[in-house]
Amino acid sequence: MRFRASLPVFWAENPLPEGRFLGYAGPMARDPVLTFTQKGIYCPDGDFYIDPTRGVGRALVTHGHSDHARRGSDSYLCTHAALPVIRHRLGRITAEGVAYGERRQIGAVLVSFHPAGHVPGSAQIRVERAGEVWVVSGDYKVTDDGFCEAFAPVPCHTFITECTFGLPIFQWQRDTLVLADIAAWWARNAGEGRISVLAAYSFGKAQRLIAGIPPQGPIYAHDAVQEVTDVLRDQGYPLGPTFRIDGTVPRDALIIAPPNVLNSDWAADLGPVSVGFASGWMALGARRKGVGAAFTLSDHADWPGLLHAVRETGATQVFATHGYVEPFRRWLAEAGYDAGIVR
Amino acid sequence: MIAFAAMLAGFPDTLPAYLAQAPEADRTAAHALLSGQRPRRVAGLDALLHWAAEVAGVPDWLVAASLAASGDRAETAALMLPPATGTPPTLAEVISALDRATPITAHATLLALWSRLPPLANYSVNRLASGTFRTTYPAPAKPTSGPGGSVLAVMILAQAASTEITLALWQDTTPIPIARLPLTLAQTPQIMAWVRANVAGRFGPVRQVPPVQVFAITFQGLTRNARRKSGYELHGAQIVEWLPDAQADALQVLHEQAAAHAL
Repeated sequence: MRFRASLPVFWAENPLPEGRFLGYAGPMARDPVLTFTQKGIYCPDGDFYIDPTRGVGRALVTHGHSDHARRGSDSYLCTHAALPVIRHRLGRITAEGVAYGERRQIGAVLVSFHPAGHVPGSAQIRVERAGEVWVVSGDYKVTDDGFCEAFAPVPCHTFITECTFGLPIFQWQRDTLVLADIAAWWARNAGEGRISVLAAYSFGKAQRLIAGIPPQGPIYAHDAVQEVTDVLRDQGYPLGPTFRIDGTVPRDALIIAPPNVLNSDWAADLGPVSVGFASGWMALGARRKGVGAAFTLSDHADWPGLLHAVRETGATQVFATHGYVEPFRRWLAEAGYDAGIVR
Repeated sequence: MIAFAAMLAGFPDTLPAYLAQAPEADRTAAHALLSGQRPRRVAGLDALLHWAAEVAGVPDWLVAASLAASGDRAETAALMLPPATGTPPTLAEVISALDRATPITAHATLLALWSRLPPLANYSVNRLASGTFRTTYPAPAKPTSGPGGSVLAVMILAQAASTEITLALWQDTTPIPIARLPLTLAQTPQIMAWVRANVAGRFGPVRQVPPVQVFAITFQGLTRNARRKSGYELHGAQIVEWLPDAQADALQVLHEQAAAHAL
């Protein structure tokens, strides 16, 4: 057993599987499958980068958020489902899509993409070299939001995991409760003659809200949200109608807008509004200051979710990236993992 | 307790809706709290955080990392607790449990409350248990376009033919009117009966009464208006509660209210 005896039961119901990869000597027997460079995570045997931080030759991209899909690379590979938004955001690029689970030989390694449950089309990237498997999580959440492709754990020897919310103070409530809270806030505002303006990231969170909030009236979208929503709707994601803001917006409307426009003239022209914000960071009182209505809804795994994901991979070596990397690494090390940080 | 904690998150705008649906015992407890009465202090914030970390199985170094992210011991303790199970206690039950706790039973009392409540409610439990609960009726609010505010005010006049009353704040020992508002409370008949029995003066349809009955009012905004005796005008004001037990003499005076509302 790898876990300390004192680990609380609600985090330790599944101990690490033993001997899942028989006949394999261990992750440190040869050169690492993936290395950490200035330009991002690099695979020497396949000569590609994963979510590179600047232009490279070949980029494998986990999903379309701007800190993962960046301009300037010669070619891009991502899931079919992620490709339309990435093309929409990056413009003219040389890009190719693959199906979830489809295996590609790139140089000396086998590559495949697996659902990460973060946003539509998001993927974990699995890289296999002669039986040794590494998985890069990208951003992920382990609970099924009923909208994007649900997270599926990928067995591996080495797991490179994000830890945006890698502290035990981050534990999410069920989606249905949060969405019902948002619906009640919307209905209350409508009853008081105020438009509800909900701030949410324009790709992913916005559409999860459009698809998930029990309807109380028409949903309007800021242009940045509407453009991405149209792309995803054309792909077949189940998104009800949303309206562009063009002239007067009815008082019973919900407007989904990116957070950065809330202080602009755009917001001032609407008339009486109530402003809410949907984000995992709303769990913290300090982040709720100055926010009208706060809803804790995240597209990242919470602390129990991160531990669950790590456990489910069966990995013995784990690297933390994006977030509270040092406490998360230490927790994993004390739980018996060979734990490091992506640097 | 869950509804009370949710109300605090949007205080004071959420107060009328909360009072409208809260059971009688919780309304009484909420009034006591918002009027400044507090349950017995059961334990300090450091003890609460330590107990919560024990329940959650979080080592000290990870508590420190979590506290660095949150910046608030009551919040850090509430957020790291395991998910709630069982029937959540009401506000009145929480207050009663805290009032009964002794230094010896404090730990068990907190664990029992925490295990039945979600994080936002446990945050309020921690504030109450540690004697650091700060929310009261005269909450600071932004002037004019802000989320409004709430104050306690005293009744000085009543209309004989309707249920409108005039409310005032003290300036030195003189009550200065700040709003004339309709009474729409469940106890309106009771209050009007009190008015009829305590008429101190008659001015046409207006009845003057002794300045002793205290009401909580909320408002959407506040602007300066030199034509008002108080110098201010309340917007979107409504009476949310009658506080028959409140001491009218102890209310904040007008200039303190003005300071609290950043005018």
